[in-house]
Amino acid sequence: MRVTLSILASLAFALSSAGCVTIHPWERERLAATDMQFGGAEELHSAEAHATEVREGSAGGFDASGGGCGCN
Amino acid sequence: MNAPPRRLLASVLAALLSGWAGTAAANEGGGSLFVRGDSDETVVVAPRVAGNVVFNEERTRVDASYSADIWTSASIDIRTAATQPITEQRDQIDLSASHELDDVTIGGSYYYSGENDYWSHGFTLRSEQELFGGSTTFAESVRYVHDVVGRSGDPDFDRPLDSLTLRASLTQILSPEAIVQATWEGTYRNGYQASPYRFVGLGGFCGAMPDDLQEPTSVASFCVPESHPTERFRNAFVLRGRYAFSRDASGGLGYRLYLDDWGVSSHTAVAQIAWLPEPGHTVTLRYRFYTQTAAAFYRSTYEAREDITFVTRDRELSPMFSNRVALSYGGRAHLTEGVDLKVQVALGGSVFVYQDFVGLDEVFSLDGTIAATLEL
Repeated sequence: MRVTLSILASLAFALSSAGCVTIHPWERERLAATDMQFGGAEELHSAEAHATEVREGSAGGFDASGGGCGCN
Repeated sequence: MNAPPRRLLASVLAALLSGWAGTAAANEGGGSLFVRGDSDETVVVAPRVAGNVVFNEERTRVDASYSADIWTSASIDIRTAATQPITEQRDQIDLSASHELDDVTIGGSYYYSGENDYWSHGFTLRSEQELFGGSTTFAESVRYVHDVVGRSGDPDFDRPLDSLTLRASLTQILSPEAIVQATWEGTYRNGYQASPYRFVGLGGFCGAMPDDLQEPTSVASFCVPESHPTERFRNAFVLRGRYAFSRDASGGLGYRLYLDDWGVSSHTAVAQIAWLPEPGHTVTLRYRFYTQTAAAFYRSTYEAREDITFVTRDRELSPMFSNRVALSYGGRAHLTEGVDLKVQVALGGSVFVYQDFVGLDEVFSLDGTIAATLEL
């Protein structure tokens, strides 16, 4: 757990340092493209992500969601 | 699906359609079909329909969807229980709404999932704040899920399971070409977390011997119901990023560390390359690697001892790893004034390797998805 917290603290520090960077709205055209989105195309990936996640002992962090026992 | 959720879904879809007709913002409606088959003799067919409307000067958005899993299986769990292949259906509805207040977006969602022996209700509240002129986004959410676990053919079997999930993520634009995101998600679960159908052999194998069992395994002196701890704390940490090499190509990397107090720890690595041959068209190749350790109480076989508290025959708690590759295409066609058609197709394959699970070494799967969405 100590290692985990160290990793988390390092990530938070690195990202908060990056917060000083300001990219203006007119510079974000490329970032608005579909290939740059996290968790986009839910209609394409939701069932696939559900089918993968219910076959593993882990869960969370990414974008999979949905209920049920995951028997499938 | 029982009657109240079906009426609720019909009402919401009707409201969405009436709102759709009266607004000029980017509203969407469409459907998709997911099909999956694997070497563990399980086939899943999952249709989904979804729609959303945006109004109030595009500050308010309402989404609704209905999806189903129709699955037929004669998996290792079913073969060892010496029962016939089964076909069942799970229905799910999702409703969500969000509203923008300057640099803050708030929202909430609800889902209902029902099948003949498992019912689930989930409620989520979330908010998102844009900082530093929108270069930084902080999002957090809280989710409560109430499940009821039943057992087919046993109306008296009724076990609750409650889950509370907190999630926080920080998304940072690093440059006009690069963006990164860090996420923590923690879940506390309390209730029945075993399978009411699985039994575990003490001193040997329980149930019908799989035909393809390679190693000599003795028959258990007696079998007991699967028993898991009632509490579980789960933590997931994710770091991922995207980088645009040019106007028509990008790459992405992601990593997840997962830890829980049952002793399961896992590493997940994802990578993708995307190519935009022309505006509105995207081809993406994705790869995913996953590996996990076993739960502390997992054994491939259990000795007949009185001090054993928890026993399991759950392959998802055994040591395992998997590889997955998927290729997808998304394209957009302009149909008429103000109407676009978005079509997406994906094909994927996975291999799951079980390193210490009696009766099952590997599972190969193939899946495909096709989706079409109208944008107004």
